[in-house]
Amino acid sequence: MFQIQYKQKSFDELLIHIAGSVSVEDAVSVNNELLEILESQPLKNVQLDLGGLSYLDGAGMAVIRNFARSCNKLRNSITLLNIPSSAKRFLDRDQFPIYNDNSILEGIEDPGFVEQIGEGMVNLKQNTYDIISFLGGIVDAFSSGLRSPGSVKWEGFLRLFEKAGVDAVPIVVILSLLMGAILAFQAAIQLRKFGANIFVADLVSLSICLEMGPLLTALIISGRSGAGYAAHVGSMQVAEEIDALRVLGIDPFLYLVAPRILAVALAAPCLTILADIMGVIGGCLVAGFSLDVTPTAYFNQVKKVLEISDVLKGLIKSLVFGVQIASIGCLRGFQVRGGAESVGSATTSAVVTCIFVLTVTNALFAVLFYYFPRIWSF
Amino acid sequence: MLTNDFSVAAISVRNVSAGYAEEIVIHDVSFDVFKGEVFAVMGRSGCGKTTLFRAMVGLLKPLTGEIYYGAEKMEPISEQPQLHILRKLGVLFQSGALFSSMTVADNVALPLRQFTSLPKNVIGELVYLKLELVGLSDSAKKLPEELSGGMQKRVALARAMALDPEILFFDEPSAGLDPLTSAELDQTILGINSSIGTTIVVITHELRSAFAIANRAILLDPVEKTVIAEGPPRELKNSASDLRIRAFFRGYAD
Ligand SMILES: Nc1ncnc2c1ncn2[C@@H]1O[C@H](COP(=O)(O)OP(=O)(O)O)[C@@H](O)[C@H]1O
Ligand SMILES: [Mg+2]
Repeated sequence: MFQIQYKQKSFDELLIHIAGSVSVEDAVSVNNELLEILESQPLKNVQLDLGGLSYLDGAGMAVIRNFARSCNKLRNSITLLNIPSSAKRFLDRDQFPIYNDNSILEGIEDPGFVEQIGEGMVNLKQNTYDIISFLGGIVDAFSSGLRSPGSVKWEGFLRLFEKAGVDAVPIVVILSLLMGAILAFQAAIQLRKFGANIFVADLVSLSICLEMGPLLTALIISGRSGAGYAAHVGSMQVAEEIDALRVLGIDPFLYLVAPRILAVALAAPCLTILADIMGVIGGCLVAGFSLDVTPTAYFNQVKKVLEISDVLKGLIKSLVFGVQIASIGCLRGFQVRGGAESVGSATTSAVVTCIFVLTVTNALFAVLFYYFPRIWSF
Repeated sequence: MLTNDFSVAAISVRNVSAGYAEEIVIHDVSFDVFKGEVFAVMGRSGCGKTTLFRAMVGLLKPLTGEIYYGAEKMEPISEQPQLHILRKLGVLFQSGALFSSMTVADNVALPLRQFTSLPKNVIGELVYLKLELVGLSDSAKKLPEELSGGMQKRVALARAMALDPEILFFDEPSAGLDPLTSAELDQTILGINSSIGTTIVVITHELRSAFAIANRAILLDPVEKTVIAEGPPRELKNSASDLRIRAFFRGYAD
């Protein structure tokens, strides 16, 4: 669709004619041909005659500009002749004396090592500030919620509880049943050697109620609600919905965060009780099948060894976990700046932060319960 | 190679009904968009302009009816994406729809990298050229979030035009823009249309813009759910006897 001819006009002048139509489809070959000519002809002054063009689209103009820039690089002079009127704006060298240096596609360069450290420090400071002001916001919201309970949005609360709690029941049931069974199974191999079969009940019930039940439930809630809240609040942030709430005079903490914290704080202990029960049942199944411990003997032993305080300890932990998970999810959502990618990292970061905080909290509780074993006596 | 021929249909919409699960939004709509013209789809907010546009570009499966590009029937993208048709279309969404994780330049370069094998230098040059066209060559390395709404719209326009498509769709291009920017945008649109003969479908409720750029227009009605007028905007304004058409073009209800 296009023709390119060239001839030597005088001793150092090269005249190139392009005719026909140059569009996206031909742009690659036009580009190659022009550059080939330029390389094969070591002449100082290049003239490119565009008079014969019947059609020239953006890609064609880009090719011509690229050609002109290549000429500049080789220290040739370049003159464009008979520029079509529609392309004047983009090819007239009086208006655009230096063509673009073509670094625009390089994007934002990766920061250097020192810069990254600095960035990390700034982020740490910002993060700390965010967390503190977020905690302040929560305390503020709860205190004003206590003073005027009417201002809290209760209609959505039941749905939030349903989503965070009821909808998580199947996964909690299955996982904790399996967890109890696995614990019993691992214990069975060892206990059988000593004929201490019945102690499988001690092992399963204590470790499920004290540690595994609350932690497993909390991890499930982190993955479901923690990540969900981060994505939800983050998208609201991107779409200026949070700002819309603010200018309506609605406190986003009272409207979004407080109900979510309450919902998860309530759901987590409920799910934990369920996880405890299912875990102990899972242990019972394995004990029956592989250790010949009858269910009656198993539950008698559970009754003997498991104290109310053990279950309560687990529930208190899970209440705290619930508050933490919902807060972290919402916090990460509020920290979103920018667009879709930022929502993605907020979600990831919510789950990672949850896992970290849960583990640390769990350790703190272990220490606390070690020094104050009977929690209800004070 | 594009030709301006106001008698060859670039797009034919035939008896299209479209809508969402609960409701039919447009019913039995038929019209032609001719090659090289600027065609306006007009109507009050909520009358189904975006719905019609989504059906035309294949994002929404029409409940009944067909859409042809030239002689070819457009199938919904979700069922059977026809890349050779899509390649000819440029689309500017109502919200801009820039990719937030890419710089402005990369946003414009994406279709070029996807559909052409141009060398990097030429792509850079072309991106720069398109950004110049919308007056944003200084913002090439910024992220979309760092731009104002109107600037984002203009970047989206540059992206839509990256491949010099034969047909350009604009969904409310001047929504959210000041009158001056919106008038400039109209001039840009006219410039694209006249320089390489691009067929342009503009969805708009702005009379001024429609009068300024459109060769022909259709008017959708939210009650009838279909086209109630078709023709050059000025003729519609001056000669319509229908009250609803008059009310729309006068800009007040009577
Ligand atoms: N995703 C959707 N689901 C259901 N209904 C929708 C959806 N998008 C739009 N609608 C309805 O379709 C109608 C037309 O919407 P739209 O085509 O966006 O109007 P316009 O672009 O003319 O302002 C409106 O009544 C709207 O409520
Ligand atoms: Mg719309």
